[in-house]
Amino acid sequence: MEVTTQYGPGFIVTDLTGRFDAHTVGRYLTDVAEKVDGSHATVVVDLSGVEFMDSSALAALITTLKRAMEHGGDVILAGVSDAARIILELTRLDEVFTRAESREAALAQLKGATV
Amino acid sequence: MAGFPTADRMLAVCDMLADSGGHLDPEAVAAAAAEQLARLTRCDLAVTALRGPDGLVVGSYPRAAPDWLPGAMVNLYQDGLTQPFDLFGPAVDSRVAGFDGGSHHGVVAAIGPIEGGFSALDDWLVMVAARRMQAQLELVELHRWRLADADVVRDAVLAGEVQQALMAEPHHRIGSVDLSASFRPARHLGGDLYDVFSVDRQAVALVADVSGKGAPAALLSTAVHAAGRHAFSVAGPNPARIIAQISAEIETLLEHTGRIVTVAVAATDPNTGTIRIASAGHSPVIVRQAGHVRLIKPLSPPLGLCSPDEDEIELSVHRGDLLLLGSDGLIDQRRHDGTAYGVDHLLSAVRELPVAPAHELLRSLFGNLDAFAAGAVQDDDQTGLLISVQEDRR
Repeated sequence: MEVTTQYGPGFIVTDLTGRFDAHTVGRYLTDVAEKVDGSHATVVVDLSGVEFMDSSALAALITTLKRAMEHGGDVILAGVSDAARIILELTRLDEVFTRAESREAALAQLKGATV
Repeated sequence: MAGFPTADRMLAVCDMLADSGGHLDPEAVAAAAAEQLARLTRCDLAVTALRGPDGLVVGSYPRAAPDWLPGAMVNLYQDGLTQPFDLFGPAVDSRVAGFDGGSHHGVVAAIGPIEGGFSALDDWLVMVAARRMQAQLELVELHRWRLADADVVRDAVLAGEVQQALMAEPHHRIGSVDLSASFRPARHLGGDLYDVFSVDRQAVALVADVSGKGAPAALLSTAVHAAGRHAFSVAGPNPARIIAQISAEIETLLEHTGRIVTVAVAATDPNTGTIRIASAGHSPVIVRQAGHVRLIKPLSPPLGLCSPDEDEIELSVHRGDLLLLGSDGLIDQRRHDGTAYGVDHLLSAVRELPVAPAHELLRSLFGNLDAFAAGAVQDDDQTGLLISVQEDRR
């Protein structure tokens, strides 16, 4: 899975492409989840390129959400692909995460967002 | 002419190049390299010295090298001093070559005097001896990795047998229902589990799935297993309370390991003809009532985020109805072209099942899944627990 990350004032935007699963979750945790702190408390995760997600990916997103909340931030799932949507619904996590139509819509939700 | 290779020397060089070695340890590699170098260059003493995970390893031919020499050779090479006379002084004619790569580094030396003096061919032979040692040491390392790997696999197979033994008995007849369960890990050990309890002709079935795979998930699943048994002893045949109890017990463990667990619990009651179900993020839970199938979606998210609501649903069931508690490995199984089995496929398979004992139905379901996979790799743990209602309520 490809993980590309950009930083903005108070937030991180990350694009994930490929399979987000037990084999690829390590990279996500290092590059994204562990980067959440007081200066970057909110994470926009662009899932439009994700073709598969498993429970390891969900655990990683939940870890990110918990860290974000500790710093007063949030996690926004943007461009949720069909594969991602199905697993989020099957686990009832669709009602837990804030969602946005697209990365641009997510960034617009964040005040003064410019990347 | 001094240095011109004779025919027999060339033949000996060809033999050396054709020899693939096949040594199993660094000592054998060092010894063989020293002998080959001595025979080919006809030097007075050939010494090979290398340093690696086993410490300093030395070879020499046709006699033992002075004690101080091999260590000094490797040290000087490491310090970047590779001119022969740094070691032996200008009075001794010698050729030296070193290598540095992988888990070993070392030096070979052909020490004179040598009849006719060292030639260009001898320079080349010393260099080749060093390269060949390096290559052979890589093979030795690879061989060791393969042996260690075999140990790890053997351990995992044994651990997998223990995990199967930890699971409850797979087949039960309790009250008005027949239950059958099967746990198929992807790699010997897995993070799925099932359990079955009973009290007063009421059956309680539990299926859980720890995120991740292999040994770490399996270890965590044993904690969930124990929490489930304790929860039943405390909460009785009450699915939502069982899940809440499990959540409280493993909350800290999930926090520390960064994992989540999905759980589904079903409790049957032959007196009321009902099955109550609670699920924390767990799918697939599929019910067939009077021939119609549907997916029961979880009422709460997985454990590991927050405490679950104590919500349940209650279904009226009759003879011939079915409830399947599965793990997502059933849905995610792909075949060679990458297509996944999917929820719809599983719903159809459950709908088509006949009225029969639970173990026959479960075997049929897995058969359907395996036929779809057609030999493709099983990438996730697959668990199924099937409840088949055998009687209407009295």
